[in-house]
Amino acid sequence: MAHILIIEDDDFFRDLLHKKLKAENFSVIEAADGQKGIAALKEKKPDVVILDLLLPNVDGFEVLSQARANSDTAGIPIIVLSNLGQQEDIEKALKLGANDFMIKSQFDMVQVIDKIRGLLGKK
Amino acid sequence: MMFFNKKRKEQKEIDLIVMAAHQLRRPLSSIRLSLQMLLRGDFGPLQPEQKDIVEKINGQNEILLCITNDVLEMARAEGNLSAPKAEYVDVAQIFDSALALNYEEITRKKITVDFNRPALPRLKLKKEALMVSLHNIIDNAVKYTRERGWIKILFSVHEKRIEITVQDSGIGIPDAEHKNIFVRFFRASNAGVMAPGSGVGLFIAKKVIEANGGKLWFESKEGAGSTFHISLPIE
Repeated sequence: MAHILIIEDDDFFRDLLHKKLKAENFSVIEAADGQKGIAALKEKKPDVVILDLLLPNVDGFEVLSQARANSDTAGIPIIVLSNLGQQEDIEKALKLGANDFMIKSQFDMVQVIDKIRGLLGKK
Repeated sequence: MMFFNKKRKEQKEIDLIVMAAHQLRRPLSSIRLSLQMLLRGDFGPLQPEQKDIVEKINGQNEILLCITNDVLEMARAEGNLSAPKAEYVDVAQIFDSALALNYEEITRKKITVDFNRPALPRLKLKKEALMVSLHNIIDNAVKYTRERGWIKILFSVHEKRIEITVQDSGIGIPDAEHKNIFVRFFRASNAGVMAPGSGVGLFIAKKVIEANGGKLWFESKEGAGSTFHISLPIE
């Protein structure tokens, strides 16, 4: 069973993602801020991460930087799911090592599941 | 001194609008996700009447999200227009990014896009505002083109300007409504069946293009598509 780490500070949104992923037979780990997200990445080494960018403590860009700088976590696929959707935000996230970028106000959960399965298939 | 105070006040108002729109998007996105899950049966099957009402709520939420996104874009464009510096802009690259952002809808609707990316002179313009306005024009072309339709983007370089044409095979605009198409909050009577919208996209686009020394005009026939022309000055 694949393990998905959700790093998201919005409790409602995180809960919905958790429910959906669990229903799709993924095991889910949660972190409600960037600092906890980095700790969970190092400790749990999930198979895929879903990462918000606007986070308390440490933002999603910093989580990306630290994930990619650490040899233990550098190869973990990360899908950014954020309402920051300006071209420069997308480019910055991809440059910092995000595997994909989806905008919260426009995404479809089916697409996220497909992208997760796609990334797992490449491993 | 009064001029700078006025500018600072305007910037504060814009910052407030940007912040408010950002804050609104958060709960609206969660509502959207939960409605999607309800409609897909993730919380159990819905009775027909329940499905009907949830679909209607979903539709209203999409409109709210659309308005919030448009207000955010409008505020950013206004903020950028009053920024002191113009920057060098690769216009073809802006269309590249607009098409990339619409990739999923273009693929889903099997829209053919004819876009030959030529070498163009770089233009010195207010970049962020221009991005918002050109993206709006492409977003509209995609939004209002039906399945298996097409979009053509053509460039021509003249001595002192470049001209871009965005043509689509979409639903077109009724003749009687052409005169209102750039009016803020106006939506053509046939637009609502295709997609939600707030009616500010073309208003912003025209304002920004003209503020950058350019022109925006169009031809359209209901049922036969639209062609938008953009002229931008070469420095």
